[in-house]
Amino acid sequence: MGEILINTEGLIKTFGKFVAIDELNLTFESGIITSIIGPNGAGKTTAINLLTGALYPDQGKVFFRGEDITFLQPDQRVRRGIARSFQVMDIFPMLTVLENVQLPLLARFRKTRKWFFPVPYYGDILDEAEIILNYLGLWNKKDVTAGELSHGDQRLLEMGMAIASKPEICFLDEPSSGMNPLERAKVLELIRSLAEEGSTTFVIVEHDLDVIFSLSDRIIVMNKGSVLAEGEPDEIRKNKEVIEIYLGEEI
Amino acid sequence: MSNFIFQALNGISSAMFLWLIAAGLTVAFGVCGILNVAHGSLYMVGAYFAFTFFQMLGINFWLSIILALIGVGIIGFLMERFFFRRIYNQPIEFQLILTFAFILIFDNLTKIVWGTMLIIPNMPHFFQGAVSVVGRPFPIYNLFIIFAGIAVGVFLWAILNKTWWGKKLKAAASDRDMANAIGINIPILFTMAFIFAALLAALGGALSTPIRVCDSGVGGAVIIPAFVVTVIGGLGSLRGAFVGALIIGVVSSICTLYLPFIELFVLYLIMAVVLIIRPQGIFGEKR
Amino acid sequence: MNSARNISTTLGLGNSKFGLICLSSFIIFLLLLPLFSSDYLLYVVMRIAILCLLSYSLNLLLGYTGLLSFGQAGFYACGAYACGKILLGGASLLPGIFIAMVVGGIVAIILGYFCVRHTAIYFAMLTLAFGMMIFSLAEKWIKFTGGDDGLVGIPRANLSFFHIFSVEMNKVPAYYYFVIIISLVAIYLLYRIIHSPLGLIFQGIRDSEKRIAFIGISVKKSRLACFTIAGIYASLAGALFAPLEQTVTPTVAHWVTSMDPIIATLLGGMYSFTGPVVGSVIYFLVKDIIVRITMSWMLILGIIIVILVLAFRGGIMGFLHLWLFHRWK
Repeated sequence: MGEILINTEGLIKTFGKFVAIDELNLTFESGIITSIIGPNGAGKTTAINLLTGALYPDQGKVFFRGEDITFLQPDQRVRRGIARSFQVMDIFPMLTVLENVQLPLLARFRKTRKWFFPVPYYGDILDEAEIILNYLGLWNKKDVTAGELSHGDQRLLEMGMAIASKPEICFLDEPSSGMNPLERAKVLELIRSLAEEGSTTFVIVEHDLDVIFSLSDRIIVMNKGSVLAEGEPDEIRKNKEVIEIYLGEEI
Repeated sequence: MSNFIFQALNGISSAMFLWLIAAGLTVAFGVCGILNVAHGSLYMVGAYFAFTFFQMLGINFWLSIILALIGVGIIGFLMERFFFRRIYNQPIEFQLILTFAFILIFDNLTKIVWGTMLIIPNMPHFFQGAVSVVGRPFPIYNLFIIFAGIAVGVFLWAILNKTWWGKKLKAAASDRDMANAIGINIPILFTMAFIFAALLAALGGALSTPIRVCDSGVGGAVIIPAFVVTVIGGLGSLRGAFVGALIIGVVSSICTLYLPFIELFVLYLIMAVVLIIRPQGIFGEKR
Repeated sequence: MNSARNISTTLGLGNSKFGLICLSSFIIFLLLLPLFSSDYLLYVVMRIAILCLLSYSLNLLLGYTGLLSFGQAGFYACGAYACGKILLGGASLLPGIFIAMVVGGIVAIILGYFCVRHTAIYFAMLTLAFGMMIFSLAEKWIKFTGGDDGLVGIPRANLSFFHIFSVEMNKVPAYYYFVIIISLVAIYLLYRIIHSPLGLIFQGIRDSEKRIAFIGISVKKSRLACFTIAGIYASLAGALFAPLEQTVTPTVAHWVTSMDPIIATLLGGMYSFTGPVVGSVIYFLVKDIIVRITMSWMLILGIIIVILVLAFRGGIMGFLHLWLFHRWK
């Protein structure tokens, strides 16, 4: 608990004249569940993109355990222990649920160059996939083509793929969007139990305030590309500027 | 040296045909998102139509061109309305395969309708003659072609930047969904854009009949240099297509003079190098 | 064991025993063919087998990894010319084939290095450019390739093992067995690759290359692996072609030749493993029949492709799979 996993220095990212990220300084410590909230356009997803390698900054640096990873490719970051799920869902629609989960496991167990034996031959991968799918409650749908799952199940699978890499730090971008309350509760429980296990630190971008306030140890509020406020949930709840931004929304 | 200049001038005039096809490719790709490999075939059909009206039926040269444009315009309409419309949202691989199939169909249909008849250059009498350039006779018609090409360029620029329709085209090109959302009728616009693109290629073909031989295999042959042109200039950039055409036209022409045997290879090499170093071409944006 | 069910599910048939029976009978049929057919029929089957290998090369790229290459004919030509030159130099059959495959693989790695950093259109166009560059080389480098006339009089060299034994390949049935056995082994190996972790990664790249990167796999390296394997299979096809026809001309490198496997794969079914086989057989036969009936085979071929792209993207196997699947539901 408490070691710094990721920190950034003065990140700046512009798209033409639009400044998406403006002098962003973030720090993430292991074992602490962080939520990132903020109005639309605040730059939350862009920030995650910069941290996970989907985008490169115009200025500034990103460090992982002290190593400068600012310009590393996404796959290189994943191998170091940084994973993410996507706001706009990105699973493998033509593969089965089982195959979807097996892919990150293949990378994790370093079996990606094996070409002669069929995938089921690698029992350790199969076992681990079973564990993960059971966790998600998707084991009974393991042979279903992923594209045919319900939206909620697809989102669960999306999350499952991120945690299958057994990352040290995992960014979840709106993991419960589009879900009904039942599914949302499931996601909440999932994150909570995984965090309790201790091997993965979660950083969640969310809009659902219930999820945020019941789950987070720490909240970062972003606005216009930089950090507006950060601290424990109670502090944020009382922060005047934050309340202003959400325009009197019931907290 | 005068050889060089003369050859370069020749290159510029032949570049104009490439420019017209490439302009059509660019409009089709930029607005509709269709990479029409069969665009060279539209050029070819335009040539055959013009040839039929002017040389076989003896109709006035200018009228023949207009009739050829109408003919190809109808074909372009049919292509877009009944075939391309169904594959707009499919992976681009299927588009490419589909348009390749059209090359086969057009080449063969041309052979069926016109037989193995070649188009033999036949200059309308008012264009006959040459002017002296660096001491050598340069056909008047080639000068006309150069001016025509530039005129088309100016015309396109004017349409896209000065007319309401042109602005709609540009809007659709940069963001289809947004254009739809603000009320632009995308399906009709796409059809019109593709017809326009087809007309450009047809114009090239029609104008080529006085000075170029054409047979039923031209459709598949002429698309390759046109492709190279659009790649160099940048997919989706009209400016790029013009510049690219000039480059390829002049380089090809110089090559035929000094290094005739590796002309094709050099063409493809340039295309490969551009794709590797700067795939978006000179003027294009990364897609 | 699971393999029986695997085989039959890949064939798109629901019943495992049925699938295995089909496959076995097909292989037995192929092996017994020389006993009751003419040399010409054996020649046709060999041509189909070669087209099949070329189609598998494309199927791996397009159907499984989502990469459309217009330049497979380039590798086909590399294999054909390499094998031709080696056999003309007096070597026996195996070195000819083997070295041709190595040449194809090396060319694939070199060209692939440039191609795989690009996506979709640019990849397709780059493969077209490279393929046509090879075509130009074949046409113009007269000293090495014989130009438009190409390599002529390629001997159907003996199949020999270091002086242990030597089999004459001049008789058609002998070469037929060679081609068929090599093809079957090659296809079997490809089957293993498709169902291995590497194959799953290829399919993942087809579905979403962004996601592949974000689960920790290098998309470029995997694409390069795919491109190289495809290049080896295409050059194997070319290498088998050279001693068969005993002549290799530049047309083997033209983009029109690249269209053959594209159509065959589309026809048979891009997303199924048996697609290329089915497609190659039908394409070859249809082309043969059409050419006899009418001069307009290009037109008919074009129309067939249009229908396939618009309506039957999964090809024949896809259609069968859907049809059978719905029946069993």
